[in-house]
Order: sequence, then structure tokens, then C-alpha cells
Amino acid sequence: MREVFLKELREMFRDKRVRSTAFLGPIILIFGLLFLLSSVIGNLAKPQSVKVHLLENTPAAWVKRFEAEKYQVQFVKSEAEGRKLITDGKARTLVVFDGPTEAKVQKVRVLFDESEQLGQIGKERILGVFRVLNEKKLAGYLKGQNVTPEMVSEIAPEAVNIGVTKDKGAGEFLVGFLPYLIVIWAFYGGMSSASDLVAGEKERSTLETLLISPVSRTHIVLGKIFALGVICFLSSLSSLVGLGIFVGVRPPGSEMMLNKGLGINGSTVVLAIALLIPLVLMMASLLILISSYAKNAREAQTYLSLGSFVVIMPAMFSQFIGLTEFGKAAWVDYVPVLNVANHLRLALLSKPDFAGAGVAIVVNLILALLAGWIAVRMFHKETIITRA
Amino acid sequence: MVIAKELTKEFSGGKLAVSNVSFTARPGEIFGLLGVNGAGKTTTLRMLSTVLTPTAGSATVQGFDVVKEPTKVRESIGFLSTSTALYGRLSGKEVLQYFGRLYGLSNEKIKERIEVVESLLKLGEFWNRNCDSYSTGQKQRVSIARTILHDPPVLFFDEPTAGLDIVSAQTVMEFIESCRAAGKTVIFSTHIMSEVERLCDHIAVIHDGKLVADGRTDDIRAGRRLEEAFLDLVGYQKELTHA
Repeated sequence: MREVFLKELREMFRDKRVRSTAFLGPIILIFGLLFLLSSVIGNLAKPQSVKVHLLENTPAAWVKRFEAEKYQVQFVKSEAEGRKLITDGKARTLVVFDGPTEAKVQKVRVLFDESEQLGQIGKERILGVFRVLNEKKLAGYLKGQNVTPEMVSEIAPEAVNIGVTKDKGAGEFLVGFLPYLIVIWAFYGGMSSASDLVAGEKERSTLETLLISPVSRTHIVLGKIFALGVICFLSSLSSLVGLGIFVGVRPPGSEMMLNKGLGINGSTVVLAIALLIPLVLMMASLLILISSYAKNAREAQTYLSLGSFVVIMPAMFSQFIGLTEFGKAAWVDYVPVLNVANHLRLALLSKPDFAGAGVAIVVNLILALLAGWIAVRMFHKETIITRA
Repeated sequence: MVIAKELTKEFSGGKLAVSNVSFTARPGEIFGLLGVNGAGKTTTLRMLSTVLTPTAGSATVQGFDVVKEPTKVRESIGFLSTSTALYGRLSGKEVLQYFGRLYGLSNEKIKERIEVVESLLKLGEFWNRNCDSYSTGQKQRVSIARTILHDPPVLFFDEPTAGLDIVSAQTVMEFIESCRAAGKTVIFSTHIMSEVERLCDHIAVIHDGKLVADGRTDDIRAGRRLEEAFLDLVGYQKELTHA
């Protein structure tokens, strides 16, 4: 088994496809994705990046106020022109000052398109500006009447964070994103190699020379599973390398994604490795099982693509589990892929659930053994192993 | 020595690939297994090499039962076919070291055997390059080296010259002759009659999974060209004539 394991590893490390898809791919993809997202988030967060359209006859005081708030002010001749720009997607908002109401309050209409997200964001920001102005005016009036804001309040609400303090735990974005990436690459990293490991060997007839050697079929398949498990594991960690580069580079806008640090410490790493090992063994066994069944590498790729849905679905759900009540539900520990992603999420929140993680580890280990056992059985079925 | 007794293989779906095939291949002779494509030659060799399990009958290789002692059988055989590829991302030398270890040879023994096959097959000029870059002939020379690395007493050749150029095919033929000279038991499966006439001491003809002839080459030929004798045995009737 050791010889098969070492030979498969050597071949896979020499394979450009493996190096690019399993190792380089996650690094470039994760870094690129995070870079793109950070620049989008950064742009959205900048007040000066928000455009606002005003009529040419807007009072100069209001124009100055918007410019002071670092809005990009642009003028239109008429409301009709502004409406057209919004419906054409060329403007986000049009602010129309209609003059004082009967109560001598300045009436303002903020025109926007509800179907456009940027329009909605622009509308909220502009209304926020006006809200602040109203609050300031009210506070000034009350002060003139010797009334404190508390005197005209019904209640004094206060939100108290009793959870993770700001310097612990990863940012919300990373908590949702990182576990998903780690588990997904544990599968995808091994996909290109898996089709070659058994189905490809059948196609090239190299498997037959292996079957004629004195090594038992059980040892052959186990050697392949463990070698592929190493690739899956390293691929999974490669996504972290991509993240590490992103953290090191810290491109503009990244501070909003990394505002709470990474939430990674010694115990997180130990727990992550303990969770990942059974997961990658399960993935590798599953991949080898599928590859064993296929006649050739192309057929294996087709089956593996279909099989990837089994991994994608729970992995994707893990991104949103924090928005549901399921994060602490016991059944989650029994769902492969989801259980690992969820416990990685909890660990990144600095709320590791060791008992639940233990259940997840045992469940995935059992499934890895089951998939491995089926793969071994399949290797002993001559109708499957000799079909090419 | 290889002894097959009423060897039978029925695949799922009821297809009878090999039916009651019996023969004996002895050390120091080349035993030709003849038949058209799909006759059952490869299935027979796969049963003898323990890749497939016989549905009925039995076979021994060097006295080891192919079903009960498959590991002993595998240790005793070498298998060569043109359809068998090498590992493209390993060098020829690495392929030999890998198979040496799979056959349980010690590092010293592997080194010693590699030196022997290297000088025998002149691999030194290219064997440090990855197998992907080899010519067909170079691949076949490394495959031969892999087949004999553990010095097996029994060798199976399944259409070993198919698709090879004349020079590469000559190398294989000379190698098979050298195996006979070394006292090995050789089973040579082919449908190329000129190769059979040149190499084989003994012939078994398989047709539709059944053994239709088994005997000394000269006896089978009975004064005719081997090709004519073979066509008679497989019941070939001339079908096409000029108008």
C-alpha cells in the first residue's frame, strides 16, 4: 500500500493539471474573488462614490450640503430628464426640492428605481442625511425649551453585546465564506486526479499490470484513497493560502471584510485539521469509488460532476446557516460536509463546540470507512474493474 | 509450467467467453494461443494471470492454483501486451523501481535486476526521461523490462507486437526466443501466423471460446501452411469471389 501511495502522490505532484487545479486554482480564485469583493464593498462604502442628481434650480445651500457630504452632484434641467436617466439606469436618485409645505417644512422627494439595488442604497443614504438634519434641529429646539431628549422619550433602548468581543472571531463575511471554501476545495481539489487514478488507468490498461502484481487489490485501492486524500487536504488548505495572501496584501476595501481579524488561533487550527482529515478521507473514498465505476476518464468526469452536487448543496447551505436556527441543531452534526462547515464556522466565531465537532468527526469517519469499503469491494468486482 | 483444466468463463449476461479449455504449457517451450479477435485468448490469459476468476474448471501456474493462491501465481508471472501503457509522468527507471518494490524485491535486488535488464534492453540512453516522451519502441523495451524485472518463471505475451513497427516487433520476438532459451514457460497469444511459425513449439487454437486444436506446431500444420490449417480449424469458408 505504501508503494502505491507514494507512486500516486509522485505522479499527481508532477501533473500540471493537479498543480494548477488543486493548488494554484484555489489560491488564485480565492484571492481574486476576495479582491473583487473588497473593491466592490469598498466602493459602496465610499460616500463620494454615490452619485446624486439634482435639478438645476436646487437651492445653493442644499447643493453645498451634498457636496460637503462628498456626494457626486450632477444636475439635470428638468424632473422629466432625471426620471428618464433613472429608468435608463444612468442615474441612481434624483432629489427634488418642492418648496415648503403648509407647515413651512421643506418638502423633498427622492426619486429612485426600486428594482435597482444601487438606487435603493442611494435613496437610503440620502434619507439618512435628511434624518440626521431633522434630529439635529429637534435637539436644538428642545435645548431652547430646556428640555432634554430623555424628557420626551418613552423608553431608552440600549443594545448590549454579550457575545464575542470585537478583537475575537472573524468578520461575518469570512465566517460565512471561509468554511464553504475549505469544504468545497476538499472535493474539487481531488476531482481531476480522481478520474485519472482508476478510470484513467483502466483506459490506458496500466491498471491491469497493477492487478497482476502481487499487491492485494485492497492495498491498491487504499493506497490510491490515501494519496488522493492528501491532495484533497492540501487543496483545501490552498484556499487558506489564497486568503492569507489577501490578508497580507490588504487591498483597498479589505478592512471592511477583515474588521474583526481572522478568528484563527491554535485551537481553531487543531479543530479544523481534526474535522478535515475524516472529511478528506470521505471525499477521497467517494471520488475513488466513482472513478472505479467509470469505464474511462471522460465517463468518470461526468459522474464526478454529478457527484459534486452532493457536496455543493450542503456546502452552500453552510453559508446561510447563521441566518437560521439550525446552527446549533443536533441533526446538523450528522450531515456530512455541512457538519464540518458549521463547526469551522463556530470555531471562527470563537465558539467552538467540541462535543458537536466530535460527533461530526465520528460521523464523517464512519462514512469515510463505508465509502472506502464500497470502493474496495468494487475493486474486487471484475465486471467493474475490467470494463474499459 | 501452466496447466489449464476445463477452464470456463461466463460473463454476466450469460456470455460464454471461454468454455472447457484445457492445455499444458511446459518450461523451455513457447506455447502459442491462437484465435481470431474475440475468440477468448485474452480472457484465458486474464484467468491465468488472476485478473479474472474462472466460472468453472481450474488452472495452476508453477503448481499454484489461480483461485486459491493468486498472490503466489502473480509472483510467478510476467505479463506483456502492447495495449498496456506505462506511467507517463514517471521515468522508465522509476517505473522499474516501482514494480520492483511491488514484487517485494529488496533495494539491492532491484538495483541488481535493473542493471541486468538495462544492459539487456539498452535502456540507459532514455530511461531517465518521463515515459510520456518515449517512442513506441522505447515504451515496449521498458515494458519488457518491467515484465522480466522480478525474473518470473512464466511469461504471458498477449499480442505483444500489435501496432509495433518492424524493428520494435523484432526486438520483442528476439526477447521471446531468449525466454525459451532461458527455460521459461512462455504463453504467446496472437493471430499473426508468421510469428507463430517462427516462435511456437506448441499451439492451441481457440475459436468461439472453445479449444479446437492442441498439439505440436508441425502436427497442427500437417504439411500445409499454418494459415491454411488455422482457417480450416476455425471453419472459415470462402465467401467473396470475383464476378
